[in-house]
Amino acid sequence: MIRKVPLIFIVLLIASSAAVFADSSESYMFQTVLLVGSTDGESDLSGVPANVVKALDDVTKFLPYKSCRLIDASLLRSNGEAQGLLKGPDGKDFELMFEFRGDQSGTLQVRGFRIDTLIAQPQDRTITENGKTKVEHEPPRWVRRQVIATSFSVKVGETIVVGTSKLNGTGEALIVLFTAMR
Amino acid sequence: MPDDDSRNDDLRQWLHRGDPASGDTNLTLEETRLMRQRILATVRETRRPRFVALAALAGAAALAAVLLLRPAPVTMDSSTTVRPSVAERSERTARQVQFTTESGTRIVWTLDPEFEL
Repeated sequence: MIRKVPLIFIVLLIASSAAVFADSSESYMFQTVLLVGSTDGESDLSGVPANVVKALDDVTKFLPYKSCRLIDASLLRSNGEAQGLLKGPDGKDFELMFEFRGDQSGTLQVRGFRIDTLIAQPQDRTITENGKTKVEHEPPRWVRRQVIATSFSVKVGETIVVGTSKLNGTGEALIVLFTAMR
Repeated sequence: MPDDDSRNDDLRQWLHRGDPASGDTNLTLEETRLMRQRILATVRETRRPRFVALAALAGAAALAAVLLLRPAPVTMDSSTTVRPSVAERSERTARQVQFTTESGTRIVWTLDPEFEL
């Protein structure tokens, strides 16, 4: 019996450590669909997944944006932190990043959900010497502009709508449909 | 008066007389070898559980050290990005609202006077 005690201890140790690591490394798939909502025009939703179309129907009933056009979509698998690039309107780079933590009920706490746009600012210099003008080319300066920054909870299988617009709801809005999946 | 040498001789004789292993053991060479094997086997058996317990303890200590010293997840701020960046927008001007539609779709909306696509 005395000889078996260390063996039992080791088995319990391995089992508990395996449980700890399994819990922290469970990964989820995240679908992100980027759209631009507009107060006029007609929607172009070709290629938009069915779950997103349903959520968009709800949004357009609720918000003043009557038409939407798909800009880009991405699928990310992560077990805690995710970062990806989306193509924004007018070809801008949109950087998506978030971190999350799941619980036993299948709800994910998404923190630090951010979409930033990266804008290249030219740094070329015009120099005039002895009456001659020349342009010195410099690498552009990348400026980060925060577009969306929020935190929320989402259930596995749920599509949540994250958006931003001006205060008065006129013009265009950026709409992100975020779905968590196993 | 006996001198020191003779007193040491007497002491040696008493010790030899009282030594239980000094006499003839009446054991053959084969018996001695078997006894030695049994003693060594017993010693090995008593040592093994202690070794396993020590190994388990060392394993537990190593695991605890790994769990405690595991690096914290890196927070995502502008310093972690590949490209140099400057935060431009003030967050104080933006306002956030959350609501749920009749069919249960949740909406997290940021009203931002500085928003532009």
